[in-house]
Order: sequence, then structure tokens, then C-alpha cells
Amino acid sequence: MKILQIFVASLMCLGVFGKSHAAQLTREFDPPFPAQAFSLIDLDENVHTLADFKGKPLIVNFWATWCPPCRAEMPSMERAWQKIESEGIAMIGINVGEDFDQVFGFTADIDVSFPLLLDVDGQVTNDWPIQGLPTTYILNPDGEMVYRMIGSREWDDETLLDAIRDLRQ
Amino acid sequence: MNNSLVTLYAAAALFILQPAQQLMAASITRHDQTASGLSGWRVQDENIKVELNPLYKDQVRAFYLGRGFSEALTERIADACVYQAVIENVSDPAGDTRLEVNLPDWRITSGSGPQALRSKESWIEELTAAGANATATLAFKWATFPTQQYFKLTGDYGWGMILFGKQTTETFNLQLQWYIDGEPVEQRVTGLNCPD
Repeated sequence: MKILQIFVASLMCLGVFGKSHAAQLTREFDPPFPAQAFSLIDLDENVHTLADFKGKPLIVNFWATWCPPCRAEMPSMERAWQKIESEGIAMIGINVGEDFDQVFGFTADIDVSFPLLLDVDGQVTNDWPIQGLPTTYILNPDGEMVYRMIGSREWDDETLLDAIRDLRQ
Repeated sequence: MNNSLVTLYAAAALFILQPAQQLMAASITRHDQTASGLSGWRVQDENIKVELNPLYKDQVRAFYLGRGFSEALTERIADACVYQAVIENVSDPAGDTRLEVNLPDWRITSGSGPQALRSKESWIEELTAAGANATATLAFKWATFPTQQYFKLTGDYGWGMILFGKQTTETFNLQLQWYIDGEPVEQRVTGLNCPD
């Protein structure tokens, strides 16, 4: 266990994860590109589909508990969620390849109140154009991909959130 | 000497000099990973930052045993000279610069001549055939550096393990290649090692 902790710590020390990049958002998909539909359960076994979020901008974060940059950005995602939850913007995390116990254990360490969905067999992650973790997509209210960010970000950065707010209809 | 010959010589000189200019464009520095005590390499120019950090075999074992691999398969991975890589687009945000990395372009240049890196897809095939379960191979897939990845935004970065394979020499050299807006850039890193 100690070796694993050193392993994670050494990755966190690389100087990249969790650092605050200047918020830069360029439309990745212009015109916007329809996102692949999904149906996944959260930690309370509630089913969520892509269609449920229609009408709101949606932040979709693909992550795993063993992924250091994913862990690094999760607190800023939660802070962002606290800002935008009441502003008509939705946020979900899609965990890649882990089960309920692993993700539930993670939430004991890091407080997350937005829905964490389980892609246990990795099928949804395979269906989306993802090359590495974490990857985050910003969808417009029509369920279309507009922005993509690879690697962690400081999600409570107002410049970044303003760009997402601008997607509201 | 006639004009066409001069032009030919000039073109040849430019052709020869161009790779050298590319090789000198990036800085290469060593840095200590404070947690493990191992030294890593950082390659950086105005568009890219690459970090290559060797991992102890025990670090690799701890990670993959925790993901559900058997001891035998974990040992096979740990024996493959595993590095942690981080590659980031550090270009000027105003430039809208696209960085692309294709690991099949990289070459290990020591030993018996240039060798391509073994792909993660090939590893997954081997591990699956050897009985690794789906959860473990899924973790391997996402924990290893993508075979191909592009970074469109400044601040976009990818991370993951790269398996260089068991080396026959104490140190090895690595020829990196990446693309900036489609144009190839090369950089050689020397003296990499595989810690036990």
C-alpha cells in the first residue's frame, strides 16, 4: 500500500497535475457534433441517460480513481458544481471500468455531490472519442459536443465557467 | 560554378541542417521525482513539454496488482521498463497550435539499431490471451499512454505509462517525434535507464 501511495505521490509531483492553466476554450467541434447516447447508473443506482440532460449545457468528465490528474481536478469540479448547479448547467462524472465499491470508497476521500456514473465495462468510454483520462466534454443544450479538454483543469475558473454559461439557450 | 549547382548545394545544405536545427530546438533537463528519488527527463520547447519518469518495478507491481492482474502478468509488465510520461501542449494560446503525438514514431536507438515501441494494443492482446480479466485490461488500456493523441488547446496534456520493453543495455536512447500543426519535430534523449 505504501508503494502505491509513493507511486501516486510521485505522479502528483510531476508538476503538471492540478496546476492552474490559463482558461482557454476554443470550440473543438465546429459545428457541434452529436454526442453518443448512454444509459448508466449512479452510486444510488439511479439510471441517467444523455437525453435526461437535454435543455442544459452538460459537463461530462471521464475519470478513474487510480488516475492522478483525475483525482487532482475533482475538488475543483465540485467547487464548480457548487457555483453552477442552480444556474441551469449539469455536470456528471463517468467512471471508467471500476465498480461501486471502488468509486464509493473514492467519495469517502473526496467530497463529490454531482452524479458519478459507472461505466463498468468501459463501453460508453469506447463509444466517445476519448484517447486518455481525464477527458472532459462540454455539450450544448442539444446534447452536442462543443468543447473538449484533455487533462485536468481548475474547473471553478470563472473564465471557463462563463464560456459554459454562454451555451445556455 | 554555375547557378543551378549553387542552388543544388544550398538546397542540400538546408536539407542536412534542418534536422539538426530541430534537434537543438528543445531543452532537455533532468529533474528529481521527490517521492521516489528517481531522476526523470524533461524535454521542452515553445510548443511542447514532455516528462519521462522511470518507475520502480515495485511501483508498477503495486499499481497493476491493484487493478486485478495476476502476479505473473504483473511481473511481465513490471519487467518491461515502465516509464510515466506526461506530454503537454504549452504553446502560446493565441497561436491555436495543434500538437500531435504518435508513439509508433518513437524509436529506441541503442542496442542493435532503431527499434519501434511495442504498441499498447499488442500488449493488451498478449495480456488477454494470457488470461487477464476484462477489468484489468481496461485499466491497462487507460493507464498506458495513448498510441496516438492530439492536443488542440494550450494546457491540454496526456499522461500514462509507456513500456519500453526489457533492455539489453544498461542505458538506452530514445528518439522522440511529435507534430506541430502537421510538421514533424524530432528530439533525442540519451541515457535513459530502467530502475529495478
